[in-house]
Amino acid sequence: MTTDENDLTQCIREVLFSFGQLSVELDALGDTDNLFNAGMTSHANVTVMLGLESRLGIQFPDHMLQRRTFESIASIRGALGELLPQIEPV
Amino acid sequence: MTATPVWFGSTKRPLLGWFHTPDAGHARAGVVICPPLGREYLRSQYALRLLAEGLASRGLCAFRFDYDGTGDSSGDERDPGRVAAWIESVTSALALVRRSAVPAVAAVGMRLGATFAAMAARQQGDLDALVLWDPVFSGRAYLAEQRAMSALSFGVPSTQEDGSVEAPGTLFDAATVRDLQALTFPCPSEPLARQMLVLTRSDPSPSQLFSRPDLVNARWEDAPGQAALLDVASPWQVLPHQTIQKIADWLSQASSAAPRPVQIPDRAGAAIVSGNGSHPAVVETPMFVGPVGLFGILSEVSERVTGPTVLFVSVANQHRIGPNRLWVDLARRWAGAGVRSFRFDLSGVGDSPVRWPGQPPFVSWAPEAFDDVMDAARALVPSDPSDVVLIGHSASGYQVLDSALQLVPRGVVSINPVMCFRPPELAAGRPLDRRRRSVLAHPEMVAAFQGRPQPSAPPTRRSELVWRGQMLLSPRRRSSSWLGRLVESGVDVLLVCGGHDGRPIRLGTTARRVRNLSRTGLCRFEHLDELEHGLMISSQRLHVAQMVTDHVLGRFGPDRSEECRVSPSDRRVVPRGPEVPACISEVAQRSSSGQALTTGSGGIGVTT
Repeated sequence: MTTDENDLTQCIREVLFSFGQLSVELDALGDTDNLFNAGMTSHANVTVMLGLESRLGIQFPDHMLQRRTFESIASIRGALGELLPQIEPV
Repeated sequence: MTATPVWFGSTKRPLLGWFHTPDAGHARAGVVICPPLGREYLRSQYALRLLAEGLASRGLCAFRFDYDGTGDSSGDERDPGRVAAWIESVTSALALVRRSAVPAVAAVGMRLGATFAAMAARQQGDLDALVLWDPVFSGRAYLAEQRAMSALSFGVPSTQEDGSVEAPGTLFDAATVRDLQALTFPCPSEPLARQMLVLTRSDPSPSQLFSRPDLVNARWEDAPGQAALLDVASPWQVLPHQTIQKIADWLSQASSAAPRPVQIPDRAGAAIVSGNGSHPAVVETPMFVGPVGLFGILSEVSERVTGPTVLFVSVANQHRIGPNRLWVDLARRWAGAGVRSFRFDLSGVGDSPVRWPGQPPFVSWAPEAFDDVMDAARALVPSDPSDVVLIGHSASGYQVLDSALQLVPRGVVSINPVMCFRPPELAAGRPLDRRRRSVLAHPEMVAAFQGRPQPSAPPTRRSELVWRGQMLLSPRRRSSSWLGRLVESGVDVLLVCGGHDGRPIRLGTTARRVRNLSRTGLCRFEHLDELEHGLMISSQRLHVAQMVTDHVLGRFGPDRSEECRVSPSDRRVVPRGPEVPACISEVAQRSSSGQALTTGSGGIGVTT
């Protein structure tokens, strides 16, 4: 993982910590663990998405507004990789 | 305290509101309560009723209302100029309250209702007090949230090709989207009101992502309980009593004028809510019916029509407008076609009272619903209460089926019925109500099938086995049993079910049994695999509306009602009809959003 990817992962984790309302400790969650199984509700999913948009100054396009985009830290990082040109797609 | 429904605003587009007045008929102030929109409107209706009652009990007059094109007011979401019409509705409500001669005027708004209240306050400039309850400070942010909610919760494309945006429970057309995006919260240098309270959520929510506007003279506090009210699906919401009390107390303290007698407009009579030169005028009349005074609205045209009366039953713990206002749309459309209908609140929900002092309000699947349906039928058709068609969705989709076994109506339409739940009387330690003949209340089944993460989640092998095992233990509660009893009684049955909601019915019968019942011409099962439970997706809602309209007008419309009619004395004789009604479409329907709705009429994928 590059430094940029590390920064992005850290950013995702911070947003999840603030808005994810997870029922498990975030530190115990791996990058590929399912966030919905970890307690993220639809409402929390929306807040996480908006939190990422606000934090990174981006807008998720319609085709990315799917549950599978937000099902894990890795999948979110993959989507952001497509939106942020300085990050290589994962 | 008294609660009085009134029509107000333009006579061409009347709006429905409720005056709540103190017992003495004197008030220290009048408070206009501005609701949210869409799904938030549905979820907050009872909480706002409680707020109005709390204000009246403190000596204030409260006025609740529905914006133009929402709730029971005239118009609909497809009309032009929505945002301007919503703000104008607030202005009209404020004007009505001023005319009631109260010594001071205040407003409370929740979510977008707070934004509209603030805009009206800025226009008029003389509000004594203003409460902003979880306000929307940016129309653009609100749209982004709603768009994401639809896409992530229901998997629908959030922005349509024509620029409209799918929000949960409503569709904003392109012009409304533009107007909402341009909507900004007014922050004038002068205070919006002489006193102002702003209540915001402290839990993680989208509103925390945006900075607070600089509101002059505002006091900021938390709004506890907002997540449990707005973010939780019916019927699992929790009413925010603490916040309601906080608002009522604050407004009471802010209103120091001496009480004055309030001049309430006359109770709402009949009003023309739609129709023009080419379409008959649809007249709606708010009514209290039966011994306990259940509240509902009668829709009809002025000409005498024949045929049964349609009873739309309120859904779960929500009020009478149906799933995302479907009952209102259907009632007006069918009235124009000559079918009379009554949409009403079951006891303890919406604007109906409880039946007895200890009855818990705001409860789904209450056993009192059996008496409520009977009372409504007796009140609307005293000469033959069975000359009705019962229509319900979700919890009331179940209720109309079980009430049909009791009432033996002309027909029953059940959309996404919830057949598996824990009845409240069991939860309270009382025995199961004897009138419940189709509910599957075994705790294991309820746990397996109500605690699902997504209503549309595909059935697992294990859960199918649980179903089948329980079906064997409850032979009289199997759908083959109660469907057979309904059809043998001469009741015309239409079931419209999504994949998940249809499982208790599919697994409780066999394909052969359903085919045999369909051959009578009285039983029709529409299994729409992708149908979302709450009818939150506009294209699906339109599809179901058309399907149910074709069915009801085809069977019970003025042109058909007499030839289809089975006299009460003959109800036990099964009439023979066409094997498959002409209006059934066998082809897969594709919704306007591109989502496939797989239609299977009668033929259910059931293994024997």
